Formats: sequence, structure tokens, C-alpha cells
Amino acid sequence: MKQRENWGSKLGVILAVAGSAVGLGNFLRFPVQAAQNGGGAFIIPYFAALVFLGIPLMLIEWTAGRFGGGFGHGTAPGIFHSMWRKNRFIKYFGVVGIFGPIIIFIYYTYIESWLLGYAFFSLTSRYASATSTLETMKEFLRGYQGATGNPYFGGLKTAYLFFVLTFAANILVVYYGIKKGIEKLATWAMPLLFILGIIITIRVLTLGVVDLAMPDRNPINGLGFLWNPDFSQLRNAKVWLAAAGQVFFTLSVGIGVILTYASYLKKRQDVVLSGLTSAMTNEFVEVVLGASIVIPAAVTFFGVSGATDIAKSGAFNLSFVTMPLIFTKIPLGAVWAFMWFALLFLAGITSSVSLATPAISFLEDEFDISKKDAVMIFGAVTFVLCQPAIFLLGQGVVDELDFWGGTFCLVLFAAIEVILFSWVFGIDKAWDEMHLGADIRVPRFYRFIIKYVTPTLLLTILGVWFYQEGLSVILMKNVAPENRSTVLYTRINLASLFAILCVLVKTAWRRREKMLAEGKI
Amino acid sequence: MRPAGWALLIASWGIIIGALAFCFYKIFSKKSDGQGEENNGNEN
Repeated sequence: MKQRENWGSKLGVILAVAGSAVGLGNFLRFPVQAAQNGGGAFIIPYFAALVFLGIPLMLIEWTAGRFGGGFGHGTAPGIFHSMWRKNRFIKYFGVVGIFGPIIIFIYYTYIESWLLGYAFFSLTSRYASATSTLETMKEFLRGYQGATGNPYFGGLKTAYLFFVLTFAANILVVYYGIKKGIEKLATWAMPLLFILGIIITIRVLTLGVVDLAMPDRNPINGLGFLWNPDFSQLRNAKVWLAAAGQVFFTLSVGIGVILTYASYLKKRQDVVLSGLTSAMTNEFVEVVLGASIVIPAAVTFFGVSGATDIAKSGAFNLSFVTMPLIFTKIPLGAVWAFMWFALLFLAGITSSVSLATPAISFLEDEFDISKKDAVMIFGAVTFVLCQPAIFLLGQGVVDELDFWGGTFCLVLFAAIEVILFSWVFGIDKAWDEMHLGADIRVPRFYRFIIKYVTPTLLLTILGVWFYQEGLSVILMKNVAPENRSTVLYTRINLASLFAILCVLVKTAWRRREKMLAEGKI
Repeated sequence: MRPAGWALLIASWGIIIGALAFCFYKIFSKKSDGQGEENNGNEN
């Protein structure tokens, strides 16, 4: 069997997994979700979801990934097959763990490139003429995205240039492999991200009262807007589902990337302490830093009612409209804006390289393709797949990709792996495997949580979603009539990609069986 | 900010920072880096 790469250090793999988990959502999605779902009371279902969903899934993925890596498999089809050898169909369920990351990668890289562009614009005062109001900043963003022709941009050329640069940076990192590429990136990008995050947090929390006529507008009231609890919201099921969704997004569980990262661990390398550390690192960035930047800054400059409207306008507006506008109002604003976009870009690239890893690992492990060739194939295919997300941005393509790749597949994949791990592989064997070389022991009640609570919660989420929205999503009832053709086109492409991946899995297994019969492996 | 807001903020930050400090203390207090001696790729 081909010798696979290994991580260079324990800290390296922890930072890489934390880097995969820490993304734009930590700074943009979490504060908006909290503000809209009960303020401080949101933290109760959030912690419950962390304990009953996030941490169990994190432990399962680290353990299953390291187990599968022992058999030369770095992706879900092979890992699932290693865990249930008698079932010849289980490998096809694992296709979700390659498909999902590819789908997220093809739109996430484009959004990441906006951050690089805006970091450049902040230093060159490119958007200075658009900072008079929120509307002009929105217009600037729409021009950059090519949605409307306006005085700021004549077309998509600038956005495309930054996309190519960002895409190339991602490909370069994965080209250098696990140890020299991804681990090296994580070991300098994550500490830098922490430093930038802490500096910006301190700056925002020390803004004080910027308009003496309105003393209520200050960062402490901004924290209050986010943390003052509305416990009546806890009776609302939607709040609990939003918390569960946020924990999923934030920890990168249910995607397949942690499986792949963990497959490069050594046989007796700890997974329990490493998994917990990466999860807690992510939580620190989200709950401590992420919650202390955008909302307190928005309340300080726009008041509680303004911040409410901004929060409702979504994460993109917070990042690309509100924050640059705020930074123009403080001394050295260009430097602060650059630091903000650099922070988000680092959060983005450490996540996007992880999304590229499963597909590349699949080609290397199952087809014995060299790293260089696997990266080239992945780069060429995904570059083509990115184009609809760029050119049809305003026509529902990204929302569609985000729904199937970044939402539905996450819950589906997590449900498959937790059932496989605790019921088919067996909780006793799984528990022993988890503690092989472990630096700390998992409390025993987690056996019960992993076997009963986590699968029940996941199946409930899937069931509730299907009952409430499933049919209307499938029938495109929630899609604007003018976007239905592009959404249908996107769905056909997605279905085709999934089918191609299934065929590749079938081909890989036939090839492996043939080689086994010939005594070549 | 109301006292209940402060209480939730301090409790949440305390739990997370405490857990993170515990994890990194355990990692750095180990004599070796905790890696096994066997490579993962020689079992099949």
C-alpha cells in the first residue's frame, strides 16, 4: 500500500482543523444568529447543540478518519467501507463527503476573493468615494459583483482578477501537500488571525461614545444588544434549530474535511484532546471575538434600530458594507479596514484549502494518482465549476449551491456517519478506537450521547426540515420565477457531478479488486 | 447591558476560555508531542 503523508506536529493538525472550522461564519453569521434568536438566551441552545451534536460529531470524524487512514483511505467512501466491509453500497453514501466539500469550495473561493479585493481597496482608498451612506456602499458591492453597471465598476474584470489570485493561492497551498502546504499555512495564519481578531476586538470595545448627542450608542450597549437574554425565545423551536445549524456550520462537521485531515494522523496519535482543542479554539474565535466586533460596532455607529436592520440585511452587507463604512469614521480607518478584511481572508483561506483536500485525497488514494496530478485535475475541474457562481451570482446559483452543499449535505452526511459509527461499527469498538493513544478520556456518558442522542437529533432535524420545507424546496416554490431556469441548470449540474463521483467510486473499487486478485496490493 | 446579559457573557467566555486553557495546558504539559510511533498506512 502506498505510504501516505503525515502531519508534522500535533499543534499543526489542531491548528489546521481549527483553521478549517474558523471561517467567515464565526465573525458574521454567529452574531447575526444570536441577535435574531433571543440574544444572550441563544447561547443556551447553542451550548446544548455543541455538547449533543458538535463535540460528538467532532470526535466521530477524528476517530473514523484516523481509522480509515490506517487502511489507506482518506475520504468517506473508503473510510465507510473500512467500517462496514460486508456492505458493498456503503461506499456510495460516502460520496456525499467528497461532493459537499467540492460544492462549497466552488462558491466559497469566489466570496473569499472579494475579501482579498476589499483588503486591497481599503489600502488604495478604492471605495472612498462610496462611503457617504450604506446605500452607496451597497451600490459599490453590487458593481464589484457585476450585478449592475455603475460608476464604480465597468464589469467583472476586477472581481475576476481577485478570484484568479485567490483560486491560485488555494491551489498552491494544496499542491505543497498536508505538511508543507496546509500545516504550514495554518501554523502562521491561525496565530496571525488570533492577533488581528484580538486587536480589532479591543479597538471596537474601546470606541466609547462617538456621538455625544446619543450616549446610548456605545459598544457596551452593543454587547447588551447581543447578550441581553430574551428567555421567552427558548420556547420557539426555530431558535433551537438555528442554534443546531450554527454549531454545524461553525465546527466544519458533517462536511467530510475532518475525516480527511484525521486520516493523515498516525495510528496511535491522540484524537480526543486534539478534537476538543480544535473545537474550543473555534468557539473562542466565534463566541469571544466574533461576537465582540460587528454588532457592538454597528450599535455604536448606527444605534440599536440601525443595527437591527443591518443584522437583518445579512452577513455580506455586514462585512462588505457596514464595516468598511464604520472604519472610515475612525482614525487610521484604512489600516483598520485592511486588518478586518485580512482577518476574514485568513479565516476564509484556511477553510477553503480544507474543502479542496477530500477530492484530492480521493484521487491520490483510490487511483494512485500523484499529488501534483491530483491537484491539477482538481484545479481544472473546480475552476470550470466556479464560473456559474461568478457569472450567474444574482440568479440564485450561490444560494442553491449553499443549500445543497453547505446545508443539506452536512446534516445528511452527519446522520449517516453517526449511525454507521455507533450502530454498525459498534459503540464498544468505536469507543476503544477513539481512546487509542488518547491524551484524555471522554466522559462515559458520551457513549449514550453518541449512540442515542446525536442520531436522534440529526434524524429529527432532517425529518422536520423535510416536513416543513422539503417539498417546496424540491419543487422550487421558494425560487423567484425569473431564476428558476438557472436554479434548474445548477441542480442538473449538481446531480451530474454526484453521478460522476459515484462512477469514480465504482471504478476505483473495481480497480482495487483487480489489483488484489493479481496480488499487486 | 443588563446584569443577566453580563452574567451570560461572563459564563460563556469563562467556559470557553477555561476549556481552551485546559486543552492547551494538557498539550504543552506532555513530555513528547503525543504522536504514536507507528505510521498510519501499514495495516492493510
